[in-house]
Parts: sequence; structure tokens; C-alpha cells
Amino acid sequence: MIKTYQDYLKQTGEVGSIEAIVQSIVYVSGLPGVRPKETIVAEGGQRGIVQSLEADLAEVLMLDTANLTTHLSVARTGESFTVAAGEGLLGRVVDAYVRSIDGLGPISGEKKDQPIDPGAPGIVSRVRVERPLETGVSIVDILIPIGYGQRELVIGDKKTGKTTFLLQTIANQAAKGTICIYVSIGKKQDDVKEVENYLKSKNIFNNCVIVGANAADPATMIYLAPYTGMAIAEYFRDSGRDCLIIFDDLSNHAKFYREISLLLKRSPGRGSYPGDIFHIHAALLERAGNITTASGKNVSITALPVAETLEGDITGYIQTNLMAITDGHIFFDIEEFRKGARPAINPATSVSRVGNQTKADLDRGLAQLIREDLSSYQRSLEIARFGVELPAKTRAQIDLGEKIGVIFNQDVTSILPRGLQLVLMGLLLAGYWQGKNASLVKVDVIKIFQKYDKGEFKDIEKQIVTCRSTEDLISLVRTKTSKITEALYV
Amino acid sequence: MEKWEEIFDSITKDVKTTNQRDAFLEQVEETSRWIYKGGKKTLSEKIKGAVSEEFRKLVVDLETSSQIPTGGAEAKEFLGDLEEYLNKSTLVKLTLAFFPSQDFLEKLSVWFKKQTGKGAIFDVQVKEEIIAGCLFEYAGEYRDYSLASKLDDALEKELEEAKLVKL
Repeated sequence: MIKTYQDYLKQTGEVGSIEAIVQSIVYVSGLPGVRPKETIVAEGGQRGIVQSLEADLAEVLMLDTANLTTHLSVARTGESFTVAAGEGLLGRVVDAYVRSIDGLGPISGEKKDQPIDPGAPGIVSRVRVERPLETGVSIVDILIPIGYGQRELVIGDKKTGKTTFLLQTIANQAAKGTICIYVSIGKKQDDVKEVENYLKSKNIFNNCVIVGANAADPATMIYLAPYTGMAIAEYFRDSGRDCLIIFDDLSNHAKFYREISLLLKRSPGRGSYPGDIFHIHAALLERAGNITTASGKNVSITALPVAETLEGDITGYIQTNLMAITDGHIFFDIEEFRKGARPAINPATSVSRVGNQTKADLDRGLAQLIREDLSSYQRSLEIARFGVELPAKTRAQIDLGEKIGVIFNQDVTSILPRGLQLVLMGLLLAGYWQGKNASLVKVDVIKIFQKYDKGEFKDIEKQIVTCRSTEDLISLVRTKTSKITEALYV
Repeated sequence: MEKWEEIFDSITKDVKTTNQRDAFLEQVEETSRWIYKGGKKTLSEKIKGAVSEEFRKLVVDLETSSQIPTGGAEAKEFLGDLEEYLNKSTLVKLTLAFFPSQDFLEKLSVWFKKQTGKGAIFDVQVKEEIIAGCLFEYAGEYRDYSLASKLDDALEKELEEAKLVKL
């Protein structure tokens, strides 16, 4: 039963009065026993969260600002702010207060009140990140692997394909049963709608929740949106399921928090951001991780926060904060984007600090080989810039690098499972495309995708995933080349 | 303000409610406007017709007993401090089912001063729904001593018991 102002007044026996209103901040007198982070309710039903306590007044961030007037009475609730999370959220689009905004009516089913700002899990319940999380994007899965429970920052300029990559990851993971939560922070309503349409087109929206706080919403709602998303993720994690949560994007969140802090008269620091900007993002992301439940099951919340840069500058305040907080970052390079790479990920400047420990020996060996080849490719390109005649070895390195680039190039609709990624890499390393140029390789790769979608290569895939080393992979692929050629060209 | 506190106490002894306080403050403000007007007349002569006769008599008494300064600046300060004294008075919000008489408020004021050692101004609201008793708010504390809430509690208890019996 939802309690009213009168109910709380009777329950707590404390009353206050709004003395001043500054946009979404109100200053309340009275309420002698009020505590920071407590929820208060006004006579008109408007709710707010106490931010700080001064000598005579409490500073409150109002969640509803409609019909607020001075001298309006206010009561304590004795509770911290909670959101109602439940199974009914799956396949729905909600706002930061978990109210439906998809036009399908209220959220049905049993709900549990989840606090939006509990502490992070303690060290005793935490478990090593050991299981690999497949994104379905080969360059990430091979070179910048992510594990369940990891926090990996996705950073890059506007329109470089960050959201596309994230949607491909959601599509892959939701199909495997992971609960995916996409938190849109300060974006346009159109962008949220596009995300919803993409997930519906992949028939995996029933395993997803979208929390949308668009640019037209009050700053308070935008500030709360990531906390709501995390509270929903914690509900599903506690029910025994792995969760993937995406914050798109936290650099925008920082701007709205700055706005609120300046209204709260907090001293501005670097870039006018408040001094606790690192803390709020760190405290939020600390709640992700791999933990063991009371029943002994390992469950995780994997967080993929997004940060926007300008002209590839990753030395910004918020960007460096997030890079310090997370367990690695995937850098979407504007230069790679301009060269036509899709996704425009720069593997040399991206890092995954805990992803490697989730990988099998085969994947680690493969990643090392590919990295060495890509590094040789870059060096060879620099030599080629001088316009001199290149020795055969250098030409071969450039050729191999271009072919690796072709395999790593994936469009929006392609999601590659691990097996298919290994098939492609195995073919490359086994010399299947020796003597062919990159364009022909591209044609072959497209044909392999098409055949795979029709169900071919499944038996090859099954055998390849059992390989233990790159040598095993290469020798297995060599025995299958005739079968593959037959499938592609006959 | 401390130097005139006793005088203020006696001037405002009949101001019990917020309505009375607001009316009193209006007259103090009006008087303050007349300090530098009206030539060399006394303040009580200047404000004749501008304020109520009762208030004017109060000013006459203050002039007779030399309790109000005669100089313009000091008189302005006196009236300013009087306004501040009234605005800073302890406010007690009282919701009753009837409008209280002055006697009732007087007794309540005496009782309150005995309990807390301070005078108070009552913000009285009438709400017949509470049936009897009162709703009381002071220094952020809220207490419901109304008959209506007791009846609600009793009814709720009966309903709970009836539900249990049904089960």
C-alpha cells in the first residue's frame, strides 16, 4: 500500500515547512530528526531526497517539482528512496522512477522495493572474474576480452559506433539468457526508440529493460537514472541471473550532476565539477562485479559505462576518472572511423585488465598472434608511407594486416559467436587466403556468414572450439579447407 | 532588542494568534512610516486615523511612560526591533474543530509558557473533520490528539480483527 503524506506524518511525528525553492532544490525547516539520503514527502505528494543538513534547514533534492510552494508542509518518511523492481520490468521501457513510458500501461506483477543507493558487495562475497562474456564482435572478443562481472569503459567520440557495439553485445547476451539493462542518460527520445526497435527486431527484448531519462526530463531524473538501472540489475542478480548493464553515457550524467551541485552551492572544482564526482561514479560502478550468493551460486553484474570524448581526447577529467574506476576501456578511435573501420576500435589503445584471465589458452595464443601481426602491419604501413619499394616480407605483413582488418570489420547486423570467430581466424592463419587480395577475402567472409546463418559449418565449429592451442586450430582448419571451399563455391 | 524586551512582552501580551500578529505588524509598519512625516507633532498624534484607536492608545501610553524613544532614528529602531521580536516569536500550529475564544487562547498561552518557558503565537486552523481534540505542531514535532484519528485507529483495529475471524 502506498503511504500518503498523512500516513507518514502520523508515523514519524515530525513536520517541516518549505522555506525556499531553487529550481529542483528546496530548503526545509523543522524535521528535527531527518537524516541525509532520507526521502521526504510534501503535502501534495511530491517526494524528495535529503542531500545535506545545515544548522536550521535541510537541503532537499525534489523528485517532483509540480505545485511546490513555500510554506508547504513536509513530512519525513524514515526510509531511503527505493524503486519497485520485478519480473514485470522485462521487455519494458521505464523512466528513472520506474514508471512505464512505453505506452503499455503500468508495470504488472509482484515487485520488490530496491534501494537505489545501497553499499557495494563486500570483499567476502566477491569472486574472481572467470567466465568470458561474448559480445559477438570479433575484435573485442579476441583482442579486448571482457568477463562476467567486469567493468569495461566504452569511450570515444560522438557517432563512432559505441551504441551500435553495445546493442550487438546486448543482442548476443540477451539471446543467452543474460538480463540486459540499457540506461539512457540525457539522450533524445528518438535514440531510445531506436534502441527499443533494434532489440525488438532481434526478438530478445523480453530479456531487456530500458531505463530512459531523456534530455527534456528534469536534472533530478537524469541524475537518478543510473542508480535506478543498477537497483534493477541488483534485483535480477539477487534472483540468481547474470546481468549486463550499460550506462549511456556517464559523461552526460556528470554534466547534470554538476548542474545540481552548483544549485546546491557546492564549491566547484576542476571544470566546475563538484569534488565528489569521482566518488559518485566509483560508488555506482563498485556495485557491479562477480559475487557468490548465499546459496553458493556465482552471479554477476557486468557494467559497460560509456564516456564521450571530443576529437579523440581521452585526457578529459571525467574520461580519466572513468578509466581509473573501470577494469579497462574500449577506445572508439575517430581516426579509425574515418578510415572506414567498423567497429572503429583501436586495439592498441584499448585494454582489458581482467578479461585475459577468463580466456582459454587457445584464445590467448590467438590474441597474441593477432596483436603481433597487427603491430607488424602498423610498422610496415609507416615504412610504406615513404614510397620506397617494399621487400616481400613487408608486403606480406601489410597484406595480412589488411585481411585481419577485413575479418574484424562487422556491420550492425552481424553478431559472431566464438566458434565462427575461431573458424575465420583459423582460415586466415592456415593460409587459406594466401595469394588473394583483401577484397576477395571480404567476399568469402560474407559468404561464410551467410552459410553459417543457414546452418552450415556447425560441425566444424563444434570441433574447433575443442582445440587447445593455435597449432591445433591451424592443423584442424587445414583438414577442413576442401569442405569449406566446396560450401563456398559449389 | 534585549534592552526593550520587557516592554515588548507587555505590548504584545494580547497578541496570541498569527492573524493578530499580522494585523499588529501592519500597524507597527504604518506607524514606522509616520516617524519622519507630519511635522513636529508627537507620534501618537501623527498616526491618528492611520491606525486603529486601540493601537494609537497603546502608543500614547508608551509616550506617556517614556518607553518609546522620541528621536526619529531611535524610534525607528524601536519599531524595527518590535517587528523582529514578533517575527521571531515561537510559532505553534494548532488545528482545532472550533474557533477558540480569546480566553481559551490566553489559558493555552499560559500553559505553554509554563511548559516551555517561552511565549508562543498560535497559528490556528479550524478543521471540523477532526471532530474534537487538536493537531499540534511545534519545532518540527507533530502530534495528533484528535478524536477523528482515534476513531480511525479503532475502526482499523476492528477491521483487522474481522479479517482474521473471516480467515
